[in-house]
Amino acid sequence: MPPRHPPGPPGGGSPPPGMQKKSKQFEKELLALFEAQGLDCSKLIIGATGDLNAVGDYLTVWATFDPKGIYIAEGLETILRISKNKPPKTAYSLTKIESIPIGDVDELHIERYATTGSLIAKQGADDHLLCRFSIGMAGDFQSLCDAFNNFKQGKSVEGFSGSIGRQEGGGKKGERGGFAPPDGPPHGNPPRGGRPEPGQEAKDKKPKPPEKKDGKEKSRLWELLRFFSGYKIQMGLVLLIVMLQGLTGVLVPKLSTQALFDTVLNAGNTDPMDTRLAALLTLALSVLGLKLLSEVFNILHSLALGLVAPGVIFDLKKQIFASMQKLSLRFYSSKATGQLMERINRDAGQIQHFVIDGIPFLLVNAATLVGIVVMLFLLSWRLAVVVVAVIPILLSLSVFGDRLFRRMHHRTFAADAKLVSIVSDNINGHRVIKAFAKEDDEYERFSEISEEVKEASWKLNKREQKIFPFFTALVYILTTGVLLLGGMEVLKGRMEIGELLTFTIYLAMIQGPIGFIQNLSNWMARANDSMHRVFEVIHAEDELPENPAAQPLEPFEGSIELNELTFEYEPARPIIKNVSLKVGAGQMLGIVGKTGAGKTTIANLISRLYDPKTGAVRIDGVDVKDLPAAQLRRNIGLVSQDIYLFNGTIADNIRYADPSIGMDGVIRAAKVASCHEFIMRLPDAYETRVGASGQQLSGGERQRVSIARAILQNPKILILDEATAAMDTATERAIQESLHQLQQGRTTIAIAHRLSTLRDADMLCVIDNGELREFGSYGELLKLRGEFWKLNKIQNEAMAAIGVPIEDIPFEVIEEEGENQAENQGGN
Amino acid sequence: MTQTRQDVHFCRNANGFLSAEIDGVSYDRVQLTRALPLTQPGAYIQIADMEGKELAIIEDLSALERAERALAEEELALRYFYPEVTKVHSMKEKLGSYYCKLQCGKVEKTIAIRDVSKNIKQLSGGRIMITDTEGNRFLIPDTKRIEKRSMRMIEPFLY
Repeated sequence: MPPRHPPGPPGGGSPPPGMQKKSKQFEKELLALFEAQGLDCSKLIIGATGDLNAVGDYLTVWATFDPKGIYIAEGLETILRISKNKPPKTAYSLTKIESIPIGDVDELHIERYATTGSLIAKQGADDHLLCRFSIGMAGDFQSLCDAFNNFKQGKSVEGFSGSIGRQEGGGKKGERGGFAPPDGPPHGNPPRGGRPEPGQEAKDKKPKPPEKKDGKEKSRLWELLRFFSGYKIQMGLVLLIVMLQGLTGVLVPKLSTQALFDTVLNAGNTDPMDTRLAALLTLALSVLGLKLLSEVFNILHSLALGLVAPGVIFDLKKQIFASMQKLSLRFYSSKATGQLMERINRDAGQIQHFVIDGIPFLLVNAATLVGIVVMLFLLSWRLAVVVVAVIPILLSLSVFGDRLFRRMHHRTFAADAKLVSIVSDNINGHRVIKAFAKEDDEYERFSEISEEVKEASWKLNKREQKIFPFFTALVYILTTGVLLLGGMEVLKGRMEIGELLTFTIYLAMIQGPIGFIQNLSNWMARANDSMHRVFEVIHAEDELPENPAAQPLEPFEGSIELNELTFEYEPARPIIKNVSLKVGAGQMLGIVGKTGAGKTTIANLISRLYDPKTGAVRIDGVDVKDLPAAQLRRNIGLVSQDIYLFNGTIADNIRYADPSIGMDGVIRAAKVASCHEFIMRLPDAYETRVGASGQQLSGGERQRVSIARAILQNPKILILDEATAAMDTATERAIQESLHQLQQGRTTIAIAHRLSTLRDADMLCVIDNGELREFGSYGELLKLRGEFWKLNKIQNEAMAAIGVPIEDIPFEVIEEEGENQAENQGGN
Repeated sequence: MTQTRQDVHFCRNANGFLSAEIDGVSYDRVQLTRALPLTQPGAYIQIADMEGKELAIIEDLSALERAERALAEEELALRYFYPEVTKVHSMKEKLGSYYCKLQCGKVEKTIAIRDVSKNIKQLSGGRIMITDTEGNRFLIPDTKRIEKRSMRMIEPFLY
């Protein structure tokens, strides 16, 4: 269907700048198709690609608009070929193109559902469905809507490709509500001071760690070997000793059998008895000597490896631990704690086992195997060929076994990890379990998983029992074959009896290394599985990479600015939606809102425990992504709802931020946090051990210790996330007082349920469902008679109901004092 | 980071209890508490009234006059009384608790210890603190000076 508007002279002035980048949104080929339908593509402003049309057919939908209309096109895109370095080649077909005159649409918005979303055009009071899309594309469509709505309002337009100014643009100022508009670059204005455009820019430039996916298994072993690189000399020594050990071991039968039977004991030997006796003695002694030498080498190599292996394991564990520190919160919250602990302990143990026991054996056996094969060829190449032909079969079988076992080992591991997870779950949640009398059910649950572990181990063992006899049988066949063939060789006179005897002895010896190879597959599988998981932790991408060009702020003032912050834990489910606000250095901002409204998330974003999806958090005008993590964290103190005390004394916990602080400082901080008194009542006072293995403190006591900890940290920005929620009112008052002292000269973000605790806040914001609803001072917000007023009323009523006198300023008073016109309306 | 220094004087009242005069105000009876009882028994001593309200903190006892310091130390020694263990006779496990026969000077004592890893603690300076099930504490003042046989019995429980 051709567009209703024929392409004509531009209505909106010259084509907006930034057009050249539009090909990034729509491919040239697609634009050509649009052109063929009579559309002037040079005027298109922004586009989004969806995958469901209005009736829900799964195909490709393109939505775009220009100054005259909105265009919804349907068609198919087929990826023709994918080559490694070039962008994929795509073929387009267009089946339908629909255009809506821009005047018919007042506003575009999207609706989000469980897995899909809809693009809706609003005309007057009517909603019209334009197209649908899978939820992952919601971001693109949101951008489309934003651009369209801004365009409609005559404002400058920000597309994917940057700001697009419009001639008649200029825009009504203060669109975003009356509260302090963020100081950052507003839409369309060129960025000031040469600072790069926040958000988008930073996101594009986000340094991507190199891909680690290539290579897989081989590189994993290499990676493990890399840990040996610090021990090159020792490893060289080990290799040398192992070779010598293998050699001496291999030489023994040559002397003890071949030389004995074919030379000394040979019936045809005509030497005098004395000479023969002497030769026998020499032979016996040299065999003994070789054996002893072999043993000495064995001891030496164990010794040398014993020195190297713990070092390697130590390095490995250290690196796992270091990597774990680097991992983001997201990693921790996505993996069960049990699995993580298991990973560190068991996998490192498994690798240790492999390194200490496996690798030396591997070396010895490899050396022996090579030595034996050489010897076999020296004795009789005909027979040796037969033997050597069988070895690859054994080896390939072991490779096959490796694959087989790796999967099974993984299953055992997974079941085991689940078990550990249940145990840690039970230990952590024992109070709940007891309270609900669920002991038996928990036992059931444990048994079930135990059963799973048992099944998995059984299967593994059964499989092993099936495979191993097969190996052994092969070896038997080989031995018999050699006896048969060798016997014939001797009969034909091509071989001495001693030689055949020696050959069979070597054949027996070769079973050692081969048996090891059987185990090797098993061992390798186990170690490989462990290595896979360990290296997953080691290589886990740092999700919050520090900007290499990060410059520390001098001085760190502590003003905070949230600029159109959007964040989602799961794709397309925003928790924080377009929140903008500003707190001056040294000011206090109170964040109020229902449970789950996103208050804590905002705090997490400020301390950069997560990165926002779009928008930016800026401290003193600098994006937190461009600040060194160490400076940022040092200057942000967090007192949160869940307190963690480390294993150690109370004093150590209080001075966690700086262990060099003396007792004076510790006591002072404890007094400010009103925990000095109860600490002095403990028998060991400041030396009471707390944490997992120590004395149990009550929630309020722990909270106060953590406040003391934050006080000593002396941060420029203090985040109090329900800091006093676990305390009784009297204590809360006391702490509020001390917190008030603490807040002097600091920017404070206080998150609280009890509004009364936020009375001192310079600014308050009400967050609801991830959006900023109201922003202003306590009095201003009460006057608004909005969300805050309602919350306040509910709390006052609740307090009154339990007999607490209403402590808040009565409304009349506010009415009187109101000279600052509160014109604060929510940002969205 | 200095505590406001207070002028502290100790004396004994008529009944032999410890009194203090702090910044010119006298208190008939005071109690002393160590902030760091295990590592620095002579530093950071809290002076509190009988209700437990803190009156002052002495950063270092040695700053006091000798006679008054002796008074304070006497008082502390009574409050923090740890019998000194001179010998460990035996250590037996029964139903999860350890029964330990100790020689404390002239007194022979058998104590029960539960949760050994927590209640036999190694402190700085080679000291070992043992807490029994009733909360009584016993101190081995120096692991080097106690005889080897006793040490061998305690050693497996040190972490």
